Amino acid sequence: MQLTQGDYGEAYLANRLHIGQIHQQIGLEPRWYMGAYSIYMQLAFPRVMTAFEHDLGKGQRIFLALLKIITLDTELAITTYIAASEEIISSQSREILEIATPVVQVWSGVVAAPLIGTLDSQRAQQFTERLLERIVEMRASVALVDITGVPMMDTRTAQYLLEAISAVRLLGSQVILTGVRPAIAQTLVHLGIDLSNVATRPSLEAGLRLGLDMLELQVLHRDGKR
Amino acid sequence: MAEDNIAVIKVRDVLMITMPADPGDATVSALQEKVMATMVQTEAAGVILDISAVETLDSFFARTIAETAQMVALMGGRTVIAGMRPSVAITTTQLGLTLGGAMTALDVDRALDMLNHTHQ
Repeated sequence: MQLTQGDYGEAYLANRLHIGQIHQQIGLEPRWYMGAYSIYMQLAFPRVMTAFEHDLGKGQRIFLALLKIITLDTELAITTYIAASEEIISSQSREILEIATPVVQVWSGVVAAPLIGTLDSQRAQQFTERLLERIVEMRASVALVDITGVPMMDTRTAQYLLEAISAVRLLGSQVILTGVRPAIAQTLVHLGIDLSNVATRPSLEAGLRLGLDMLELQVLHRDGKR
Repeated sequence: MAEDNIAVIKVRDVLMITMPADPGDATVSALQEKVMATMVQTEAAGVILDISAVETLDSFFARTIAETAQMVALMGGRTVIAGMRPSVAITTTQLGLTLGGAMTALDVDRALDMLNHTHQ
């Protein structure tokens, strides 16, 4: 067994950390690992004590040395297991943030940013940054911020929205808030949120019409009628 | 002298000023003086302040912009702030700063369009 070979340098550590990662990948939880070592200890202890019954002091030292290396080994495997699990969680979190804040160009000079899910401070910041960067990148004069996918409205969320809208205005572009459903409209009024400076529309389509209007563009049917 | 790093250029009937990356208070004050002096000389219809190189906008700068816009308006002109960076926009909003009556535009090109539009 590698455990008692005596060489506990870098190669040993690297090997144990690697084992820990494998355990995480195959779903072998720490408790099985620790359980196995526990059984190992229960089997080894009496044997060590028997072998050194004429020199209990030495037997104890040997056993404690064994204990030390087993603890180190277990610690390395568990630490790696936990680190690998945390890495998965954090990469999933990043992915969720990525997916949830797309900003797409729907027309030359018009971008649409659908907001999906609830807004916490981190997402709000990320959303605003992304929206502003894309506006600059695509030279968009109009940004349609769609909140159809926002399940509920509260003061905080409204605050984040208003801040994002102000920031877009400072860049020189306009925001049209779209997807304002009746329930949301009700909540906004009850909360006393002042949206008198913000153009709002019930749907993305209505928002796009207004946006094109602002850019003095018009969509005509081929036979000439609107 | 701080005044030297502010160049005020006349483009058609609009005054264009490009701000350096990190304008100190002295530079910002000089901006206001220079704008007013040139407005009197040229009777420009508007002022475009290009801040695309500016990385930080503090309350003094914001207040000076608002005041300058007001002064320009009193002299019959309009002010447009062009090219604000996203990070600056976010910080400005979070600090609750406003730019008074100054308009904003994504870039100098659009700023010129804006001023021509209102002029006509």
